[in-house]
Amino acid sequence: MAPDDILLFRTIFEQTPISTQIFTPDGETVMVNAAWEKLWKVPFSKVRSYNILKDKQLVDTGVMPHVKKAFKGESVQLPVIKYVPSKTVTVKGIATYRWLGAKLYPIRDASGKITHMVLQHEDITQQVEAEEMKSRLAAIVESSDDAIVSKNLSSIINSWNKGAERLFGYKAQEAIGKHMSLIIPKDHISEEDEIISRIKKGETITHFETIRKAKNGRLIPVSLSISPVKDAEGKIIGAANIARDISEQQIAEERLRESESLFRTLTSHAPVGIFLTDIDGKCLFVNKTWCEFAGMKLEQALGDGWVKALHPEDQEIVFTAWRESVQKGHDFNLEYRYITPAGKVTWLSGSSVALRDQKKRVTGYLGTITDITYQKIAEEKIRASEERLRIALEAGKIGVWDWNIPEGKLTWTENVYKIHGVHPKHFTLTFENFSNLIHPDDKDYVLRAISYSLAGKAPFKIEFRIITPKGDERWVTTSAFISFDEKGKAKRMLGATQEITEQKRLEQDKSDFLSMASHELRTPLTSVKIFIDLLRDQLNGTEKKSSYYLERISDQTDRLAELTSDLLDVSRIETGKLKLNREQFSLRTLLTDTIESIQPSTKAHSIVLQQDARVSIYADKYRLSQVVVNLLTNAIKYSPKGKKIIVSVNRVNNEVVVAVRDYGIGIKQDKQEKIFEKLYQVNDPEEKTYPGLGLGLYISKEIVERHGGKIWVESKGKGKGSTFYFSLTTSNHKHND
Amino acid sequence: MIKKILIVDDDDDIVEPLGILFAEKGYNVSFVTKGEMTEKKVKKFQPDLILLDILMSGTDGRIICQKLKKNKAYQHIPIIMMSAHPTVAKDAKSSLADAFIAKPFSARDVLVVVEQFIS
Repeated sequence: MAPDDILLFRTIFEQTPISTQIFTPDGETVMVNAAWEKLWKVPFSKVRSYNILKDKQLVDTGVMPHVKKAFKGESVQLPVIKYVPSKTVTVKGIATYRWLGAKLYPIRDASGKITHMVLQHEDITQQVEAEEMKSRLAAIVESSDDAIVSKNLSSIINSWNKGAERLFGYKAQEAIGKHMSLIIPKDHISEEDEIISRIKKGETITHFETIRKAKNGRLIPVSLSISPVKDAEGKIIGAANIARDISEQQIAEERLRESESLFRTLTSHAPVGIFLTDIDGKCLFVNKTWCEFAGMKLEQALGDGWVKALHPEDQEIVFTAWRESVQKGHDFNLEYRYITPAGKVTWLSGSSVALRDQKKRVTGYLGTITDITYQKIAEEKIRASEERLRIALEAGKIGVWDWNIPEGKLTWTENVYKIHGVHPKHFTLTFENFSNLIHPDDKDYVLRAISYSLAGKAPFKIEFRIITPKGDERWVTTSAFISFDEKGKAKRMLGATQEITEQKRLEQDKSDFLSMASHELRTPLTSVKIFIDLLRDQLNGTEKKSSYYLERISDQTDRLAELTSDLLDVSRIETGKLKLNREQFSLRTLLTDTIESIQPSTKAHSIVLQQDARVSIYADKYRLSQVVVNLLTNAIKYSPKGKKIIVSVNRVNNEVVVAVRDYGIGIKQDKQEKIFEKLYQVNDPEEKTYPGLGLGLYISKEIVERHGGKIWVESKGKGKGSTFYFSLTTSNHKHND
Repeated sequence: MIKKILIVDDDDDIVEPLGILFAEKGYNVSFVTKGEMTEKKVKKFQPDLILLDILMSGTDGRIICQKLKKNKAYQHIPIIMMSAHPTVAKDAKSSLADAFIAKPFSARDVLVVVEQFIS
């Protein structure tokens, strides 16, 4: 090579902007150029000993194999490396790393032998970083939910992201190259020119709400943000459009508007008055209903105006209650009156709550007032009726008691205490203390009646005796209403108690009188009957007229005897002294004996015992015979034209039914129940066709029922005869009365 | 031999017709109107049957009956108790009486019962 050539190459080597480093085939550094020194910021003197084949950094970064490959004779493009220059030369403000591209190639002599290795570096940091930035931006643009579209100043689309594909339905390839009018509805088309002209002035348009059109024709409410796009020289070349779908936002806004309107409607139409005040109670708002109650307009109510609506008599209590609820932080609840200027009074139930901000500080009060005038009138009526009831109870000396069963709590009115001869101050009211006041003979009966009624088996109405602490015996009657829970368990007994000692004494007197009178009557009757018999013997069929008269006397004496006996029985029934003397006997024998004793009293009738049921019963023979006699004498009496009377016995399971059938006058349907009532014949003049007090069936009914049986009648009506039945259980052995 | 009947009742209006009735029927009749005199009379009269009222003023018929029935000398004498209270029939039984008859009764009624014991 000529020296000029060498100089030439040397100059090129020194001046080239490409960092160049020359190595021996062993990797020793031979020389570097100025560009190298500039890139690495190290003077050549510091790298003289650098051997590329021993560079640890190249091993660590995986570049070394490529280096070795070059040293074997290939021209190699080394991988781009991220190079961290030596700390000693790092200058503040310069990137701490560089991206380097490098080429390593051999230089051979004429024989082809490698004489030198050349390493040329190119700093590509800027390219790499620009590339990274671009891809990052692209990723952001692609992944954005918003539609991002760029266009030139002729409104021709030149980019179209995924968000735009989703929102408008056009694929990027469909949209790019098209005019923006692709997505602008016809009636909005003028907007684009406006936008472009503003963009050209360098303006940025933000939150421009308008309508755009999707591929499927759907109109989409959007919020647009448009900014100019400038080239490297800052010249505006186009615009970037960001479009955000605001249809959901619009729906939400629409809903809010609707709910506001609903609230307004509710407020104005609500049947309650609504008011809003500030923290000092100055009125800020009242609704239409409030205005009606107060008889004033909204404007009149504002501030302190509302106070005029308060009834003068109630102002003090309202203010006091209000102050108290404000001080204590309670909700306000009070009943008071409003009065209109015209004088119309409305009873109100007012309540209000404190309104608080996010820091829980009270900002004002929101309240309602409800018209309770009708309730007040009803309450007044109830009070008046309670007062009347109280007066009535007082007049009747009736005590009322209430027993809460699950809680075991018993309450008595003053009268109940008086009746029991105790004083609320000295008497602890418990069920047990009450039961200790009951007469020992009646205690079991009372407790049994209570438990029976609590079990839902019978209504509660009893009469019993109590002994007051002073030792007085008193009769009381008590009846109660029992309420049950959904499981059928008794939960409350509400009762009334009345003292009936005087009544009982009168009853006893009456009964004693009846008992004594009938007893006293029997002695002369016995005497009369014996004398009749003596006279009959004396006459012995002679003196026909006298004999006839005697028989009439005899019949009437028998009737008198029956009546005295019935009266005595009734008095026994009423005082509960009709006792049964039960024994075991044959029902058939009883019937046969009774029929035999009755048959002689009638010649017109024939009494027949049908069916041969052999039944042994445990009953009061005398009393049952009395029932059969009564039924037979009735059958005779009410079948004046004679004929048969059939007595039959039917046994069904453990029940026996005795029937007495006659072919007489019968009984109308509506009278069939009544004939068992006491003194029915006496009380119903229409039926007073036959002699008698009407006690027989009443007594029979009592006797049968005391035996646990039933008595009833069946008749097809007037003239069709009647059948009287009574039933008894056959298994009531050892029954205690 | 004529049978003897003793009637014990504090009421003359019963004693009289019964006395006449049994006399008519051929019995030898005696009576006591004061209950406490009964035992004395029984001892003296030695009746074949006694008709005894239960509820008398003074001594109660039930006590008289029990006393007589517990006395070996008299316990063989049939006693028929009578009362205007049919419910005391069971008292007659418990007082060891032989029969009971409720007032009012007819001549036939009482004769039937009496003839069950003596004839």
